[in-house]
Amino acid sequence: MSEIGIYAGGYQRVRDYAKSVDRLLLDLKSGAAPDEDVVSPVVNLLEAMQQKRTTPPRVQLLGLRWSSRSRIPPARISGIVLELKKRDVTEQTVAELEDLANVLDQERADMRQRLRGV
Amino acid sequence: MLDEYLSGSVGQLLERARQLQGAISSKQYPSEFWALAQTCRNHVNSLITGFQTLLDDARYKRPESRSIRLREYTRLVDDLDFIECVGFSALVRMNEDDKHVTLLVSEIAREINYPLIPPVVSCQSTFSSYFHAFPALNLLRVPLKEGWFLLHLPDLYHELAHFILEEENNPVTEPFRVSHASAASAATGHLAGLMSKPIRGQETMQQNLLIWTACWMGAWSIEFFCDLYGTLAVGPAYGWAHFHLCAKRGGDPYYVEKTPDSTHPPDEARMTVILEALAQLNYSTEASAIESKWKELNASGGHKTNADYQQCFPRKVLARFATEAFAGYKAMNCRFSTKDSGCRVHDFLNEAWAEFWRSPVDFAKWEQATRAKLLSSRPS
Repeated sequence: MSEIGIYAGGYQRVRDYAKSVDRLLLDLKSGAAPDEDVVSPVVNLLEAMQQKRTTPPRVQLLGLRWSSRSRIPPARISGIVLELKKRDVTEQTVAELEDLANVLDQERADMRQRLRGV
Repeated sequence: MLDEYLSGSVGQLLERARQLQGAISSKQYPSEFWALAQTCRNHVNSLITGFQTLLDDARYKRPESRSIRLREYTRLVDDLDFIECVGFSALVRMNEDDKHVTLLVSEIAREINYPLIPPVVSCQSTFSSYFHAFPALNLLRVPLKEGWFLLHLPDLYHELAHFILEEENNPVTEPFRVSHASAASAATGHLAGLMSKPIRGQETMQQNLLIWTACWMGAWSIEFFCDLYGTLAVGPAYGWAHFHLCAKRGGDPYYVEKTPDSTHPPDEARMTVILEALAQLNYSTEASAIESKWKELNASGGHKTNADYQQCFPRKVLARFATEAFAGYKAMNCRFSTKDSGCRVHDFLNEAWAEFWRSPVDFAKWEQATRAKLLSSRPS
């Protein structure tokens, strides 16, 4: 019956998602070709957002928040995944990933705020 | 500006991180606390590396990477703040109460065949957080004197389930997580059905249904599963503990929040799943006794069901949660609560509630004598 027990582990996961998207953006924005270990966590996250039935509810929720913020239709996420896999990333995709990074960071900051109990 | 600011601020944070390492290095800890101490050390070392990278990595210095650098900086600061306030604070202040309750949780874990390493308990919850699980540190916070009183201790079983639901890549705990996902999907499926029908006040209702879907996907389904785990593990004592907490806190047990940040479902719905689980465990008499007092409590408060509650928490969805949790619990091979369990802590906590209702006026005296027995006769 903890007040906010749920968020403690969830925070770490959202923090990890945020970190992995920023790691990828850091490579993309500096013109470096990202390694597989940088790309695959983000691809996994985006693919999970699309697989509604088997995806943990928290990831679905993040997907909902991202698409409502950036007005990204579900089909567009497949396009982003494809670009990342081919290592042929457009500026539009970088901008959309920046939006995702902001959504994740806001979610992380909100969760931390609730953990603090303020 | 950003470069200058970070070089000053990060320098100070690096020194703070080193001081934290020193603070736990001259103290002897019981073995239950070793994993926490090592986790804290590892976390801080990894943060020190992160801060150094923030200063040294040339990619961060490009103008187009400023937003990434700032986000990384705030994440690292938050992490250091967290590890200091939660992990190190638990280690530096460790006292006899912390050791006693940690040992009690270890004993509970053995009794119920808990599939993970039991968490350390630190008796230092703040006013707003009551019992509070930190899966990343395998740490649990409870209020300062909670270990001295028996009636809320069944809530420890609920907290243990939070660690299971956060566990990944573990075939032993997987069935419980799969059951949880399946139950959550039944709940969101129910709301999706409502969303597809024309309703009066369409726009507001659609918005509410979306918010409730987010709540079901987030906190609500998890809290139900933790309630169910608690009930399946410790039986009627868990139902009484829920009654007790609700009676002490007050509020409308049918009130359905309309914010995606809701942390808990309504208390009536929680009690409903608890009673369902008790019935599954063949505690029908005990379930009836709890239900009867629960109804009386709600009638005393003048609380009644409402349309939001009925839309959001239909009985069939709540029953599905109970069925799924039962199956997941069983598949983890955890021990179910039974009347003749022979498990010391389980029996103590149930006996405490029986004693409370047998003679409420004398309970405080009985509790103090019994608590001493609970702590002193612990098996080695």
